[in-house]
Parts: sequence; C-alpha cells; structure tokens
Amino acid sequence: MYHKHNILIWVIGYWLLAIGLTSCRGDEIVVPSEYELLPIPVRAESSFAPNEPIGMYLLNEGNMGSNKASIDYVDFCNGYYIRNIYGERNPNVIKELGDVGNDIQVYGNRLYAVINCSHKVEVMDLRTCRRIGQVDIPNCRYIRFKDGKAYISSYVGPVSIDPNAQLGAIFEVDTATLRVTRQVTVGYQPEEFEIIGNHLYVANSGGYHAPDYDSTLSVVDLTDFRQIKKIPVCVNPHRVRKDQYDRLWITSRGDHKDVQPQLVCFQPISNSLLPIANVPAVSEMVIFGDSMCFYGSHWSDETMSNTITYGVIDIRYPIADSQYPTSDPRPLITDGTEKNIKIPYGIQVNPYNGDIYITDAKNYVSSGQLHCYSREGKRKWSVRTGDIPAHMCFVYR
Amino acid sequence: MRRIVSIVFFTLSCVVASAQMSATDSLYLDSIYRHLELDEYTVTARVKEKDIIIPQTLSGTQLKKMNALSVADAIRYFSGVQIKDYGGVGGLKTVNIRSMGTNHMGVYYNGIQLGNAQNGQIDLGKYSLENIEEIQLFNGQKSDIWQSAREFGAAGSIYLTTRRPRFENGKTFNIKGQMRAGSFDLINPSFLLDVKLSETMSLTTNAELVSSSGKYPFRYRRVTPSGEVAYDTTAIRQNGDINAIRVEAAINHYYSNTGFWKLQLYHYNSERGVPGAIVNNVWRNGERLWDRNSFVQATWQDELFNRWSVRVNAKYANDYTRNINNDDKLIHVENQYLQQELYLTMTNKVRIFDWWDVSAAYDLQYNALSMYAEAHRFTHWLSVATAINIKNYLRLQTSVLGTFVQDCSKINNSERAALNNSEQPAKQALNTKLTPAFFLSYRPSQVVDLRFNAFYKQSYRYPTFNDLYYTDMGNAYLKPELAKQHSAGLSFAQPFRINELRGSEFRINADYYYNRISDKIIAYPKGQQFRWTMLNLGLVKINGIDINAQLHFVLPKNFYLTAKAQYTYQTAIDVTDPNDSYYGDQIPYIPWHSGSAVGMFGWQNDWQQYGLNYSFIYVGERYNQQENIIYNYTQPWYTHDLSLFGEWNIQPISHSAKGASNSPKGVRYPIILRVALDVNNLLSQDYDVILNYPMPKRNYKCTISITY
Repeated sequence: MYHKHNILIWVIGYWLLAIGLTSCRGDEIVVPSEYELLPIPVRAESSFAPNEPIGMYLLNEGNMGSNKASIDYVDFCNGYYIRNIYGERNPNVIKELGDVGNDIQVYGNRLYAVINCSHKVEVMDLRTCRRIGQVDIPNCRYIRFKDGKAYISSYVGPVSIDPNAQLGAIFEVDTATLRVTRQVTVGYQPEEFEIIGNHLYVANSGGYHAPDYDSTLSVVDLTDFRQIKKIPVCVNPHRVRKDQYDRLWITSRGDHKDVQPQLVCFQPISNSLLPIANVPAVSEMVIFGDSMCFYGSHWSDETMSNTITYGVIDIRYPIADSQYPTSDPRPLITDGTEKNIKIPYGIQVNPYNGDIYITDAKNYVSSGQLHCYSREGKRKWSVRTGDIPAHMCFVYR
Repeated sequence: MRRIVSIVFFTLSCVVASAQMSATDSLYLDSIYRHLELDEYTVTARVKEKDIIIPQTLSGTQLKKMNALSVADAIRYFSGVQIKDYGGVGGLKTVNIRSMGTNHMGVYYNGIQLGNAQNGQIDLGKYSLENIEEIQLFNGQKSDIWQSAREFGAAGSIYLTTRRPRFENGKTFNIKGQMRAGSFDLINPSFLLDVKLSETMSLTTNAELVSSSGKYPFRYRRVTPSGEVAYDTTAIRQNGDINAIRVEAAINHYYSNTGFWKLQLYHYNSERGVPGAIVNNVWRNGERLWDRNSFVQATWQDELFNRWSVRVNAKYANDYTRNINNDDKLIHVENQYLQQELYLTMTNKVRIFDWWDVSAAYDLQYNALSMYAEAHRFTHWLSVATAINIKNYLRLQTSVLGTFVQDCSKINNSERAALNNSEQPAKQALNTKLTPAFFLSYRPSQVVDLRFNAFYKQSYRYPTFNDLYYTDMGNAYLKPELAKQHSAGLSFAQPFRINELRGSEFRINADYYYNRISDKIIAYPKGQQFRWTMLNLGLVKINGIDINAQLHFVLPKNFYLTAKAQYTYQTAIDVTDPNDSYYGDQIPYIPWHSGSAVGMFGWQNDWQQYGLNYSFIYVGERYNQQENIIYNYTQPWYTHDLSLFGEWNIQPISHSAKGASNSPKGVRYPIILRVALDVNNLLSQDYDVILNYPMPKRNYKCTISITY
C-alpha cells in the first residue's frame, strides 16, 4: 500500500514539475526590434551626398493569415540591420502592421506601406517609422504618387451586378488629409502602374480569371479620373516600370501553361509595343539609368524545379523599328553565390553606388534573407530578414 | 467469484473515471445504474480479450460526465494527442497522434473508416458525442488481428462506437429527450428513440440540432517590454455561426450468440460561417461553408464451424461541400465539391489452436471527387495477420498489409478547362506498397498486472486529391508519405480492496516512442509569385514519452473519487535539409510538454446521484511556424473546466431492480431526470490554439435531459 502511494506521488510530482518547468503563460509582449551589425563602415550622416541613400526600408510580406507583415531597416550610417522596426515604434497599433505587405514607397517625408490583406495603406514618418495614419483601401496592391496625391491599385472596385466579374480600381488619396478623393474602375485584378504626364498606365492581370487572364493596360486620365482606353499588351501582366525615355517595361506572368512569361516594352507616345525576345522570364526588375537589373524564376513541370535567372540589360535601344532591341543580358551575379538563393523575391539597386539588393523568400513560411551585391556582382553581405522579404525603398538625407 | 472480481477490476481499470461500483456493489443499486455498468462490462471484457496493447478509452458514464459537445473535446484528454482547434462551435477541429500529422490518422465510426479523399482531414468537431458510447485511441493500430485490411493502414486510430440499444426486461422502447443551451446562443436539442422489434432485433434513431451564433468575445492584449500596456482590445467573433442537423438510424439484429447484422444511416447537414484569421484591420470575414455528409453502412458478422469468424462491411458515402467568399473586400470565389465513396470489406479469422489465430482480409474502395475537379481512385487493401498467445504470458501479433492504389484524374476546373490535359496523367500506374507491423505484449506474472509492450509499424499516408490535383498546386507525381513507428512501454495496475464490497484501483502506463516520417508531403514554392506545389521533401524525427495514470477510489457512504492525469513530452524535429534555417527545429504547433488532469467526485444512492467533474488541460509553449524564433513563439495555454450534475429517478419508487426481472407486468420503469451545468475556461484565459484564431473566454452550458 505504501509503495503504491509512493508511485502515485512520484507520477503526480513529475507531472507537476514538468508543467512548472515550462512555466505558465505570461503577458504577450510586443516583439522588440533586433539589431544586427552589418560589415559596412560607420559614417556620419552629414558625409552622405544628397542623392546617396542613408537607409533602406524593406517590407516583408508575411504569409497570408499570419499577420506577420513587418518592416526592416538597413541603416547605412551606423551599419545596422534593424529587424521588425514597426512593432517597437508603434506598440499601440492593434495587431501590429498587418497581413501581407505588398508595396512600400517613400513620398516626401513619409513612408507608405500597402498592406494587402489588412486592406489599408499605412502612413508613417519616414525617419522614425512612427504611424501618422492609415487609409482603408480594400485589397490594395501598389502605390505611386503625383502632385500631392497617392494612387493605389486595388483588386476590388465597386461591387458589380455579376459578382464573378468584379473589376479592379485605382483609388486617389490626398496625402494631406489621407482621404480617398476619387476612384476609377479599371480591368481585372490591376497590379502595378506608372504615371507618365497626365496619364496613369495600369496592368490588368486578371489573375483570378484563369485561364481567361486579362492582358491589357488601362490608361486613366488623371484630370477627370476616367479610363480612356485599354491597350492589349501581354497575357497576365504584372510589373510596370517607366524608364527615363518615358517608355513602360511590362512583365507578363504568362498563363502558367502554354504562354510563357515575357518582357515587353511599350512606348505610349508612339503606341508601339515591343516584345523583348532575348530576355527570359522576368519576375521583378529595377531600372537604374540605362540598365535594367532583373531576375526571373520559372517553374518547370518536367524537371519539377525552378529555373532562376539573374541579368542586366541595356535598355537604350528598343525602338519599334530596330532589329536588335537590346543587348543580350549579362550576368548580374558573377561570384556564383546565386545558387544559395532559393526563391528571389525582391530586387533593388542603390542609385548612388550601384549596390544590388536581392531578397530570398525561401519557402515563404520562414525567415528570408537580404543579400547585398556590388555592381560587379560580388556578394558583399547577407542578413536574415522577416518572412517573405520583397519590397525595398530608400531614405535620403 | 474470483473471475467476477477480476472482471470488475478490469472494468475499473479501463473505465476508471466513472460512477460505477464493483459488481457486488451494484447488486443493491437501482437497475438503471446496473444496466449502465453492464454495458461497460461487455465493452471492457471484449477489450481484454482482443487487444494485446490496451488502448486509451473513454466510455459510458465517463463520457457522459465530461458533458463535452463533440468528439474533439473528449479526445483532448488522451495522451500523445495534439488537437488543432480554430475556435467556437463551428470551428475546424482536427487531431494528430504523436506528431505524425492529421492525414496519418484513421477515424472509424462503428469500425468503418470515415473518409475524406479530398484533403484527408476529418473534422472531429462535427461528430457529436450524443450518440457515442465509447471512444478508443490506439497508437499504431488496433492490436487485434480481426480487423479489416484498411484498419491496418493507419498510423494511429480513433474508434467511435455508437450506443447499442439495450432494454430492461419487458421494456419495448427507450426514449430520451435532451435540451442543451449555453453561451454564444448555443441551442442543442436532441432526441433518441429505441424500439425493440423482437427479442433479437432493435431499431435506434437519434436526431440532433446544433445552432449557435458563434459570437464570443475575445481579447488581444500586448504589453511593451517595460510593462506598459501597448494595446488591450476586446472584440466579438463574427461570422462564426453554425446551424447543423444530424440524423442517425440503425437496425441491429443479434440473431444468435455469435452472429449479428447491423444497418446504419447517417446524415449531417450544416451551414456555417468561416470566421477566418483575426489580423490587423480585419475583424470579420465573409466566407460561408455548406456541408452535407451522408452515409449508409452495413455489417454482418458471425462465427462459422466454431473456428472461422467472418465479418463483411459495406459503405456508401456521399459528401457535398460548397464554399463561397462573400467578402466585399475580396475576390468573389465559389467552389463546390462532391465526394463519393464506396467501400466493401471481408475479414476472416481462423482459430487454428486456442493459442494461434490467423486472419486475412480484403478491402476495396472507390473514391470520386467531382464538380470542382474530377478525380477517381481505386484502392485495394489485402492483409494477412497472425496472433500467438503463449499461456497469457507472451502475446505476439504480426501483420502485413498490401495497399494498391490507382488514380485516374481529369481536371476540369475553370483554369484547366480550356487547356489540354496532356500533362495530367489520365491514369496512373498502380501504386503498390507493403507495410508490416509487429506487436508484442509480455506479462511476467499472472498475479501482478504488469505488462511490457512494444510495437513496430510502417504505414503510408497517400496523397489526397488536393495534394495531387488542386489547381496549380497539385502534383500528380507525388509518392505516399512513409511513417515508421517504434514504441515500447509498460503498464501496471494494482487493485486494492477495502472490503468485500468496495474496490479501488491504481493504474499507470508509460510509453516511449520514436517515429520517423520520410517523403513528407510539403508545400514547396513554385516559380514566380505566390505559387506552390506539393513535393515529397520532408523528413521529421519524433521522440516522445506518454505517461498516464489513473486512480479510482471508492469511499465510504457511497462517495467515489476518480483522478486521472496524463502527460506527454515530445520532440518532433525537422531534419529535411541542413541548409534550412529551421533545420533541427520543432515542427509547427507541436508543444514539448502537454498534459491534462481530470478529477471526478460524486455520490450516489439507489435513486439519485450527484457529481462534480473538474478538468484541466495544458499545452505548453510551441512555435507557429517552422523556425523556432521569437516571431513564431506561441505561449502555453491551459484551461480549467468544471461540470456539475445531478440525476434523479422521478418515477415513484418501485424497487424495480429485482422486481423487474421477476414480474415485468405492472413494473414502472425508471424515469431519469438529469441536469448538468458546465463552465468552460473557468479563469477566462485569452488564448489561441492556432495563430490568429482566438478561442472563447469563459463560457457556460446547461443541459437538461429526461430518459425513460
């Protein structure tokens, strides 16, 4: 009898001990920022040229439903990488930055982050990353600016009669009041856009209408905020970037079946459209003077693997009547370290020194990496980021 | 007498936490209680005979006392089980045994597996406890060779057994009406009718309605590292409503001592909101889900020539799901799925000698998915098994299962419709797998109830239709995922008698296990943008210890006390690729420590009983994503639940216990009124089981039932 009770006491004791060891639930703490030293020289802010970035914000998308969108900051002055800066700077914002960050841009002294599944544009002070306000835009995707107005593309415009044919929209927001001033309906699931002169060009992807993808560019007149025409460009267009010659570079994601992804160049002034045949699939690019740095990742059902390419092309030549629109791409990464990048998910180029920043989203549900390459394509440093690092923008003195 | 006593103690050991007295005690109890106990005898005696490793069991009055709403709520008290609960009455609740993943689990309803060929997940929140008499959990498989071939295929098995109607002498029908109401506007009436068609044949019918608004308050609170409140907000969960109806009917015919057949119909229909994740700026989601599950199943079993036991099962299931996203802020999406399943099995067991049994079984199943996508699958299972019992000291079982899967598919969803299907294989080659299992149990002494047991088992988890064919994501070339389990443990039980009438018992089980999951099917990023595919990439190693202890005390003056505790420690680490940042980290949502404790205290006499049931569940810290870093850290949660009940025979006293058996005429059978009050999450802890799916704070339930 005595012996038996002993066993019981031992069992219960062990069990209580085990629970005691793992302890109880405590207060949930706003996760503080993490600082990591980068192998770059420390410089006084005053030593930076006016056109030399003193820092770079990086928006991590975070997997859908995880509410893990986060902002990291690369401090070029002090040589720090600061992870997850938003939560610490804005502890009072309920449920932090939000779910799925989709774009981050600087305009004036403010930082604008488009948080897709939180249906908002977060407006912050550029230097402190403290919240100034938010603009609620449903299913917002990308943001651009002109003359004190912010323009935001959104997958969902006004509710239409046929819920299966829901068109997207461009919203106009007054950056002074952070109120929506106007909106215009465009094509299906609009993605990136650019503003040239008084016209806004937005890529209608139709990504939710597979296999009947949209393939047009909507042109919106900014004076009366009206869609004036739709120009067929390429299947499932996504990126739209303008160069210094007022041409638009547009990527097509293809239909994931027969139509391969491609890059096209559209010149609004001449209404000419030129497929760039000698460049493989482009997923994301950045135009830097007369160069375009890009990467492309493309899944092959045959090899059951991703084919990833990185390259730089000279964009000066593509004109409609040219036989050789661009030079063949030259490699972006020259030291062989690209094999360490699993899924490139963002690219940016430092406009002052030509450093190239490439992010790796890994498997989308773990921390990514930010790699810095010199303009010669040699890796300088790498750092751990948040989940799905994707969008970058610079801060100047 | 010795035999009776041993049965009694065995009963106690298997159904510890219950109101029962010893067999001798029950002689002076009202017949109602006795017949409950007799149920348990039959159940546990059968268990003793068949299973060489004793499963974890919840049955009869014990289940009743827990007063849980669904099977998922009850299963939380088993060791080695992790539950994923998305919150609320309508929220998805799936279980996972020993960290192997939900898809490795088999859930059996009266011995026939519940299927979901589409995603492999069984939502145990949908299965009501109302009509369930017993829940058993087996690690590996049921350690009894008389089972269908398919039953040998799961890595862990949960058996749900519905109530078998029993009639007191002379009674021709039983009837029960119950009303349950509680927080979140829960209304849950149910009705049961058993009819005795003849001495050997009976009909039982059961219907239940569940309705809840799902509007519960939840709270998110954060503090800054310096201790100031950063934010503290309470909101009401929206779009978590549910309306569900369940109707069941069964005919049982026990035509001889060895043979019976049974026909069962099951129908479940529900409409619910899918409340979704709570993220910044989003407090409401607009997704709706309609679900209809219907099946008919039949069993026939008999023993022929005294040596050959045979059982034939057949089932047809028809499941329809419709899903709409009505959210203004999101793209409108509507999907419909229809799944059909046809299943047939024949199981044979031959007793060659008293100590040597062999069995063979063949199962055939056809699955079809239609509407959203077209896919078909034929599966054949063939098993042979043998069991040896050496003088009750050493028992051995070996089985080999052959699984033959053939898939045919034609994707015709909107995306693929216009494309040629040449890349989709119309018909795949037959996939053949052989999996062995070995079980042994050694009991060194027939006097002391101490047993050592061990098993080794291989099992495959086949890719689901979603894994194979889901739009864009599916990979038709997936291989099945392989689980290898090694487990060793011991169990010890010690009854101690206070006197001839009263017995108490202590029991403890401890198991160590090591599982290895290879070719784990995981989502892999594909190409540009947010596109995935499924690949056989993962490798996970799981080490764990399960301990459970039970103590049952029969106290003087008709009081009883039962205590039960279980604890699990486990590591489940991802060792897929040393280059991954999460290499060697605990896989998501697997806590290192988890446990539960249940205490039941009660009193009863021959026409009334009262009881107080307290339960505590603890799930330790864990991570919500693969990497074990601070951003993915999830705090422990633990809840205290309290249940108080009273039960009265409101039929004027007729001393029916012995009278009934002697003279059925003029006997007034008992009418039992039962009232139960429940408080769940007593300390109102604010917690998430799954990140961003808040669970309810303190909530209440009241149940009133009348049984005749």
